[in-house]
Amino acid sequence: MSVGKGIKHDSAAAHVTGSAIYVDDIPPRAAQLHVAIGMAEIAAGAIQSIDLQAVKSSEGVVDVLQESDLHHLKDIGAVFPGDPLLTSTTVEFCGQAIFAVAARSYREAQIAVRKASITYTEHEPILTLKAALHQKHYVRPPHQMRRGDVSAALDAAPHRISGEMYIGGQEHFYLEGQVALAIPTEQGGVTVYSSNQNPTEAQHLVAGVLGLTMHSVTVETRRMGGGFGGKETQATACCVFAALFAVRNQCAVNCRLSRSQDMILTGKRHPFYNQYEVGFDNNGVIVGVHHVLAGQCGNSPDLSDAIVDRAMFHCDNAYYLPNVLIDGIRCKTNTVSNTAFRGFGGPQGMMAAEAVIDAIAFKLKLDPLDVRKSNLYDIGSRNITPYKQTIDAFSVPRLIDELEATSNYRKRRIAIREFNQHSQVLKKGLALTPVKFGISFTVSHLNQGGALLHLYNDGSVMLNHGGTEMGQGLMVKVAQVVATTLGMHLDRVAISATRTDKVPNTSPTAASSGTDINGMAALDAANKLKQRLLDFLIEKHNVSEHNIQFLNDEVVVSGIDASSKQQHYTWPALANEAYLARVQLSATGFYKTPNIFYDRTTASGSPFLYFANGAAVSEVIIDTLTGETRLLRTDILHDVGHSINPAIDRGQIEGGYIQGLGWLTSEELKWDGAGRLLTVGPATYKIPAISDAPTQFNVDLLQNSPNEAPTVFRSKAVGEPPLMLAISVFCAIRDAIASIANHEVFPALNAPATPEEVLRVCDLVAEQSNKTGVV
Amino acid sequence: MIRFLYHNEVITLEQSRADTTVLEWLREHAAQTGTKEGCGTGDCGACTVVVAEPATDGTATLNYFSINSCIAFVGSLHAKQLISVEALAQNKQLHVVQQTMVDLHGSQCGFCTPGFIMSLFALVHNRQALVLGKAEAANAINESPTELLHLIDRYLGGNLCRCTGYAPIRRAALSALQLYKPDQFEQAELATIKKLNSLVENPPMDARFYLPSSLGELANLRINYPEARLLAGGTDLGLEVTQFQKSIDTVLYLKNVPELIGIKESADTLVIGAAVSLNRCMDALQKIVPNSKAMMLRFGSEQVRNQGTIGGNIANASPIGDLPPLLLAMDASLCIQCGEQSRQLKLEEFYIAYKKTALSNDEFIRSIHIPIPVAGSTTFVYKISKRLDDDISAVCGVFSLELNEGLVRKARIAFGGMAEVPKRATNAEVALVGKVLDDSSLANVQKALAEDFSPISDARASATYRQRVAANLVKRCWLNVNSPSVRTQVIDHVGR
Repeated sequence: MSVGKGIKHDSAAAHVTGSAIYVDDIPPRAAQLHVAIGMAEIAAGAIQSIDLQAVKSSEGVVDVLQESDLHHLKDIGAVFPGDPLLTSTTVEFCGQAIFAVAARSYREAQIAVRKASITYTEHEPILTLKAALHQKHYVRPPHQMRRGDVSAALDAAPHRISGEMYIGGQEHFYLEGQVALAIPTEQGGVTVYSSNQNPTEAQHLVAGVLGLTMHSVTVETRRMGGGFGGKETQATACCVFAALFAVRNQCAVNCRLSRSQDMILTGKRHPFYNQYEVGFDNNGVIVGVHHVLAGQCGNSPDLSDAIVDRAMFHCDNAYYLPNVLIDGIRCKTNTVSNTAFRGFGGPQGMMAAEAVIDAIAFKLKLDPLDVRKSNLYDIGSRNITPYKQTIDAFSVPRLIDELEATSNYRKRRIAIREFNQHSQVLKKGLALTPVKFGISFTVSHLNQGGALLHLYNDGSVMLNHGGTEMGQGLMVKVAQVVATTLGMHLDRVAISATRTDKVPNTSPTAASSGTDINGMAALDAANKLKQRLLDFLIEKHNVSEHNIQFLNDEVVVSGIDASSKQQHYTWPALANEAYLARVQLSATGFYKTPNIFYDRTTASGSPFLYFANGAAVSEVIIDTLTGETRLLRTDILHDVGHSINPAIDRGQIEGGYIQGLGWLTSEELKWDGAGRLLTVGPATYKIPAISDAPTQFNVDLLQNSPNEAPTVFRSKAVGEPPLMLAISVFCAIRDAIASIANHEVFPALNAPATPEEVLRVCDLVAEQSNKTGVV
Repeated sequence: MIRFLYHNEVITLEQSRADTTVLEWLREHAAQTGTKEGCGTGDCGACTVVVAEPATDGTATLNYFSINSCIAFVGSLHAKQLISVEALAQNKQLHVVQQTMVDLHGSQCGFCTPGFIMSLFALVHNRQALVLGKAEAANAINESPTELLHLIDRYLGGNLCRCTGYAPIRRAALSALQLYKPDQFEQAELATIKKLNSLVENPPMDARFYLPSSLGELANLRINYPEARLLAGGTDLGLEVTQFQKSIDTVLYLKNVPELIGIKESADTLVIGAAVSLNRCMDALQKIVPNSKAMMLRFGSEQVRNQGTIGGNIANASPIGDLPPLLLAMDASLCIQCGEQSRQLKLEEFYIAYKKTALSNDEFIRSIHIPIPVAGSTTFVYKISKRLDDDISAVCGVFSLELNEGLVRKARIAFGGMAEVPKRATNAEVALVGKVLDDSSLANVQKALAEDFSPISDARASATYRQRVAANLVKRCWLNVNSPSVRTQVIDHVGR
């Protein structure tokens, strides 16, 4: 039985030999063209004139596209309009696509695209979150969640404090940039090979822009070189450009963005500006809190409604908020439209929750861990979320208790206090933070999955489903589900590229739902197939179902003809016999997540099937002269339920944590005053490198913790939640800075905590403590 | 005509362009798509390949260098062996660095993986070299676990992975180091060297990519082709092609000229050829400035340190290069050659304005001359950047002090990232000479330093931060002199 085993990624051997094929590795066809995109050079304004003469006559150029060449759908907005494929009038952000070029080589396309001459009437752009907030410049209307009477609770609270925090965005920095290859098919159709988390969406929009029906467009995704949410809606544009040129020129067309174009042209994680006011008692227990969460959505809605909602859903994190008001605001700026990124707003909301806890702890001179513990949800009482979902399974208390012990939290807390007293320049910090992350798309209809399973008459199995592989190991996990259900060796199950002509109308591989929905759909298909084989064997051997076992890569029928006679079938033998007996050996599977509902008008319901939980302890050291920080040690305990593949799950936890570390420390997006992105490549945008991973990096999965919700093999989603474990790093840095002033001044640290930000706040804290005479 | 070995096959290129990159050649000309482009700027390592060259120390062995193929020009491969990820597995048997990555779950999306594999390949080979004493004088055979970890981080610091969080890759690297036994490349070294030597003969004549092999030849070419671009490592030049779509028509390749790749040390001067790689510089500099090593290990990445050169770092005149502040503080000078004439120029006179130097287009830098510090002098080298690995400094400060019974006799202080060129802090130096390192001199030097520089704000740091950090580095320096046992850097706590 392969479920539960730490089986290698199905493509591992192909990865290490360079033989795994990514879109740009598909051997080129004769006369293949390459696309480059012409981008706006201003952040806001109107286009006056577009002169592409020099572009058209540039060497190697075959075709040029402008807005006027689009005759069908022109807007590729995923949920709401607002994302024109090409603009000929208004410019809403620096980098917006104005035209596209197809040339004989990649280099020729890149050279040609620089030769455009475009004039604009510039308008004053709105570039910052605070400016947009101040001017009430929104992409979507504000939304509220509330329970109880917050103002009364705040007025009655023994203590009341407020605070604010700016949280920067994050570039996905998938190592493989956006890319699509389109090949025209007969009768005007097109097949698009795309690095894409959302093939159905691409199919839908390619069909729309080309004026085709969906059945004329096939989108295939074998694998992505990383996605992280950045290829949920943002992969579409490359697909559409490649498909348009392919059909116009009847040849293969590759559209690959260079790293800098990718960083300029595609959306990122939303920056947030969070404000809170909290009332609490003498033990640090929250009695009421008001959160204002303002997300910077950029120039269009894209997925921002749901993203800011998810921030609102997570500003409680693991804590019970008896009286609560949450305002979610969707600010519009003249910057690239921000989009899905691992956590989908959840991390930004959770940052607000943990800032509140730290602020309470510092105010009352308590260990933040104790304040965390006294505010946790409690099964049976204190168990209703701000959106009125009842929490009936919650492993955070257990996780915290176990982790507190295994990480030696209390001893290290004392040792760190001691270190800080004697260390003039360097200061250490420590923090333990939990994660409670809601699993399910909050847009209900997306919670469905489909699968297609073929048993060939040689006993080999072909598995297909709606989920896409971006490195997270979805394919091997779903294959394990199938192999285990059929009792066969995993290597009988072949994994195939996700294709819109195999499983239709799929949801994006997002919201950590990949295994939950596609694993269940594949389980359904495998069970159907198994049932047909059972029926066949029951009839053939005149036995009951309990006489038949699918185990150890064979099928054993016992009690044949009411005797002790047994027959062992190998898979090739069984498949062939079933085939000859005309048993249908292909099955589809389907799943829809049960028991979820949400009424957005009243902001109440049960939007999540369950919650994923984890906790982390991080220890950092900071340099109060330069603001440099190092992460010294990490201890993580994460609840993945009954793990389908502990090795893959562990990889998601380690990787998610380090990605969160980057978001909160070194990854800083910067724009100039005219709205041009300055950090357009890895030379200036610094994702974590190997030395940033702590040398002591202890990761454990919570044992004996099957999911109480009826998920596939009682596993829990693991894609996004671990990213938020890195909030412990941010809290630890805040703790280290606070030690400068004997933990009596709350460091108003913004994210990311770059050396510059840390030094700024170190100086601020020192200054405040000098003023107030503490230390 | 350029000739090199791709794995074991001799490749002969009649070049159409001098600026074809190695990555372009692999993917577009040779249809070898295992090597990936992640950034096109040499900053992510997805395109890492290994270049093997005969050792220059007289032993009949090969040295294996990881490089970023996206910014290396294919002409620079002449008479070398190019090894890409496709060559490692043999008869379906994975190489040990591949097998351990598979077994220990070192790949997720797999896009960065070929680059990691090649960096690991370089690591296992060079550790072997360290053991045999071929390269650095190191006691590498008995590394402590911490030393091993540093070796791994050093070799993989230029490879970005967005999926794994690096933990399984470290585990795989450790395992590969333990399991490595001489592979097919090491076993075939003698034969490979023979093949490579046969490529050196018949010096290639290429109309665009010149490979001079003597100083005289280079000097003549430089005079005849003043518009040609000098190519050493190409870690900066390559970006003009990959990022700005410029064409480079004529290249003079510097790394075959013996005078440019030699290191000589006399009683009072260390002379480093302009085309000596940063990795070799690190070893040479460490002998005279022990504190320089920590900075040098953070200079670019292993790939960049293999490719990039001291001369390139000086001549590109970037205000944020890390060697110029060190060399300014060491009072280095340059030997600049034009035809048969050469001139000596103090490094500080070399920089004229932003990206502008005193080098004319018929000249080239031949060598860098660094006075060996006198007894009683000490030099502190501080690199401040957002990230520890592979990052350009926000500020790089170097303090070279000659102390006599607590009194500063001489001081040379230089900074990168604080002005349009790497520059000495002359006011601060004046404020310091004749003083003891106490609170009063600290305040005065910090004040003087603020007058020395007016830095700019950019993507890496704000002007305010740069000023503040520069002043704080003075404090760090005082602490390092007065209380040598007190740890003042966070990297001390990860053992770097």
